[in-house]
Amino acid sequence: MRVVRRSLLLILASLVPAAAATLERLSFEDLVTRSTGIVRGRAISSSASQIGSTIYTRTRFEVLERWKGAEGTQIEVFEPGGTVGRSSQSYSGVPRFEPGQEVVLFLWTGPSGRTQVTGLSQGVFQVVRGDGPDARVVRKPSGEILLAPGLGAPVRDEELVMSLGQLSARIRVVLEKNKR
Amino acid sequence: MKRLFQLAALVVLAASSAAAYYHFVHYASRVGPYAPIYEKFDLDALVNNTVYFYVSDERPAMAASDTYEALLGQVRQALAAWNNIPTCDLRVSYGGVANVATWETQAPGGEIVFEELPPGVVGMGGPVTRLPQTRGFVPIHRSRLILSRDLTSRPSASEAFFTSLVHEIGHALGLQHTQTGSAMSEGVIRSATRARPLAADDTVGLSLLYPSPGFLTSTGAIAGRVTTPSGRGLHLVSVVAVNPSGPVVSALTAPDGSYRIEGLPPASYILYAQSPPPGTQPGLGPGNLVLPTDDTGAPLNASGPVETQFYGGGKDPHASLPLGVAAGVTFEGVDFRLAERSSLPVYDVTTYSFPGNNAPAVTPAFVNTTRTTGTLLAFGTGLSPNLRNVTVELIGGGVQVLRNGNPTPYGPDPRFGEIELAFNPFTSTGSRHLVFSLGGDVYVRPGAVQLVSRAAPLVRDAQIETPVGNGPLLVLSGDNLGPDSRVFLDGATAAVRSFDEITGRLRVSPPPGPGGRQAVISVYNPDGQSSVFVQPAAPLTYTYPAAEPPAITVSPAAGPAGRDSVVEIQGVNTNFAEAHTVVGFGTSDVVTRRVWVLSATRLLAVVSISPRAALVATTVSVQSGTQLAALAGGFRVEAASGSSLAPVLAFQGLVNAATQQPRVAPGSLATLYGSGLSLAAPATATLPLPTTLAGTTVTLNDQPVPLLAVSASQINMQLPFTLPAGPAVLRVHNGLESSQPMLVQIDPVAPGLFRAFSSGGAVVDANNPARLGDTIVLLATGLGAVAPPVTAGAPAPLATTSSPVRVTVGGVELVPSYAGLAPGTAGLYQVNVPLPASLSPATATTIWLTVEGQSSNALATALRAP
Repeated sequence: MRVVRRSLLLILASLVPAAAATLERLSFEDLVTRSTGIVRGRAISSSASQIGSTIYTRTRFEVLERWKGAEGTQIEVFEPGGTVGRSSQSYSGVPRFEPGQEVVLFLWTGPSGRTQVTGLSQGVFQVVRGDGPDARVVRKPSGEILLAPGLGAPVRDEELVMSLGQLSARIRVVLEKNKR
Repeated sequence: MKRLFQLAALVVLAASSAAAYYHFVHYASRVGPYAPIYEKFDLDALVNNTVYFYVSDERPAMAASDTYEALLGQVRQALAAWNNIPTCDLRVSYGGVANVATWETQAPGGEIVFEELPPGVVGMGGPVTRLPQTRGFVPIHRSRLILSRDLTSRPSASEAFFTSLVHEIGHALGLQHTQTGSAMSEGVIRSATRARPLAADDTVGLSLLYPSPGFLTSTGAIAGRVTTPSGRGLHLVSVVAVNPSGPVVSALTAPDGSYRIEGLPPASYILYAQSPPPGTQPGLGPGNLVLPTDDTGAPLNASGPVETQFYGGGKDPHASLPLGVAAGVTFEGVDFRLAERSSLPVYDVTTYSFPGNNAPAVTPAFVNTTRTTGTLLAFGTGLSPNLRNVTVELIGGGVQVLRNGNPTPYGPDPRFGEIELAFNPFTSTGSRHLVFSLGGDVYVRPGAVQLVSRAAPLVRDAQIETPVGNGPLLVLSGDNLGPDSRVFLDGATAAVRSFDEITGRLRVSPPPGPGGRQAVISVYNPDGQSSVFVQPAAPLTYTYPAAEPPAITVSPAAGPAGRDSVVEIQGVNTNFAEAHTVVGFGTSDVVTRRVWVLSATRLLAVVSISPRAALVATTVSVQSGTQLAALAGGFRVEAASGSSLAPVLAFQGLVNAATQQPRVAPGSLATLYGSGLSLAAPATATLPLPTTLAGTTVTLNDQPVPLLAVSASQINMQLPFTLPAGPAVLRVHNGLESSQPMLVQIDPVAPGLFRAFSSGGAVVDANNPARLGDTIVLLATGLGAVAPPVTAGAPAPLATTSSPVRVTVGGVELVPSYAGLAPGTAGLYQVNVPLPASLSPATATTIWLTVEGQSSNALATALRAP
């Protein structure tokens, strides 16, 4: 019997359990659209504090470039994990930033006002500066993406290595599209 | 082939070491030897080897058709999956709801909390706090699962929610990712489902951390080394043992390339070595593994990607050398030499199939073998661009990949490869593994295909029946329901009462649930499929009758730290039900040891309070099915107080005098252990037994108990014959002070064997065989009611047991010539057993007895010829 062909309706099974996190893979377009802020910044300092029952590490960034979100010369990003007094929590796979590290961040500010990285590490692009004039941005591939029901376009996975200029252009394209 | 076989030398090893499964691992040094130090819970720090998980009472936003109570039902079910591993000594349990934001808890445990998570993050989990290394491991103190505070688009009844929950709990217990398609595999290659949430790799992984006695001696192992052709050890390569249609178990290599796969069920396996996929999380290794660390905490990095190779067969699984694993035996020297690669050509392959009923595709692929052919889809990194150059074959017989093994681009989305399989009438069901070959390299995807003999269960109709005198029954009609189906309402078990083979209808008893709730009906079949496959968006529901919200009161509302206490919980609008009810006290410092459900609105519980428990008020919760009643601040832990002269009783301190187990029956001899039980010198009694001895009295349900002997730490007694079965309140008065009450379970029978004697009165045991043809005399206790009735404490007359007793000698069941009280004694039963001369002599055998389906302990003995 010939297999009846039908449109590929797949349950949203693009879950990538990391050692400590189960992620829903986001396309580049998702990253831009669902983030409330997109910045290029340089890490200044980090400290930990307990909010409720979770310890968060707050990293302060100097904002070098902004594509989306509220204005400001600095931004504070919260990620779960850290040490406060004698209490310590660690969550593997959570991005950590060293002072001086330059990154492009896709950020999400929730109802609490706390700003976190969208999609955990999916929203972090390392800025790599070589001898040439253009910096590169690198984000490791997050694996395959599946079609989700109801979406008009395929949600693709990509290895993201490009110049900073190319990333900036792609962000602007999606932002423009969302405005229409 | 012969040379390869000679390399795999058989060695029997008594102890395990250098096993490197997918656990959280530390090493004492960077340079070796690489004996792994695991992170795991300290069983000695847990009550009854149980780690309790508590769910935050800060409720998340739920989907329109979903409720917090239904989510708790799913959590209980997910925890139960990890609790049902017979080869593992760790028990995993749901502890109730808790005010996690403010709680102070000292004992190890786990918590499930709801936090504000950004888009793209479903949840996270794992050990979060650890104690300094002790006794060769790093104790996990707290584990934590964080779920999103916004679950409006993630219903708890979905397949993905449940399997993710099971996965995160696995991390919390000490497991990392595997590459075998098990629950601990990354989602893109996971073959676990709601209906079959764990695979062999999961149960072995947890059993290796917390092995039950005999686990390692009842399983086998394979060990060796994975190196480059020049002999350099390769770190974090996955070595996988595959039974063609059965279990798949794996291990990772240590920094020197050594590996050891333990816990293998005896069977034939083929082996392959394969690199995990590239990591995608910062600070993690390939496969998003947490890298092992050295004694300074610095990570030991993984080697780069390498080729995949089958042991003895290169790239060809069918030429691979199978290893026949036997219990207690290790294959040593099973080595691989692998060429390094700059990248992996293919990895992270997900397989899909369409389950029917116009439902979306499911993963992994379930293919029905009752047809001559079946189809699945595959998608993976590196696969899509190379579909035309890839060939696919199967590990596991009875199935042929058609079209010369070439997947074809799937019409509606050509990135997916369509693989067509052909079956024969002898094709068996079960797991099959796919091998993708591309350009001289291979990629193995274990458990990629699940062959089944029927489609997923589909519930078409649900009706209520109300049999006279019984609770309502839910009658389910549909397709592919069976007597082996399990039914859940919102994650709570609905007991199957009957299955009608003719109509295909299942009758189940709905578990208790919240009034008015439309609970999602899910049916699971043992082949791994569930009704969630075919009814993901619009499952049938059962509507609970409308009812007011439940409420509870707790008495007493406080208990002393360091003691076991009895608590009574009364409910209003509650529906407490045996086997469905869990009582929690909102902290792992207060552990519920046992619950007796006396009615729908009353229960008793014994709790153990840690001596280091924080002196705070906690949330008490009673969950019966999915009905939740909680009382914030309902129980307060207080400092230990009261007179130091009062007797102190502990849970299960009353034991059968013969078995020393906490199973006692009316009329039986029992021993109570405690402290302060007597303030006088130890004393023993003669018949008739007094109810006060050395100033001490014992009561059960306010009934005085005859005493044989009394000391400060032990009381021997005979329980009254008139005690009813069920919970009984035990109290001790030592002449000055009374103890706090303690609950004990009285069973109708609790057989225990003391000794066996020959007819001449000599002891019969392993060194003194019983003579065949002789009648042996067994002294026992706990055989239940006798006729005529007798009074406990008085010298026993001849009185036979009301229930028949059977004796098993050397595996042969015998009928005793007499079973009843031992005349002139108190609490002792005598069972006379003629040994047929036709029995076979034995130098080592056992004797035990059975009454009302309950078996006693076994006595070691021997049998000699007449």
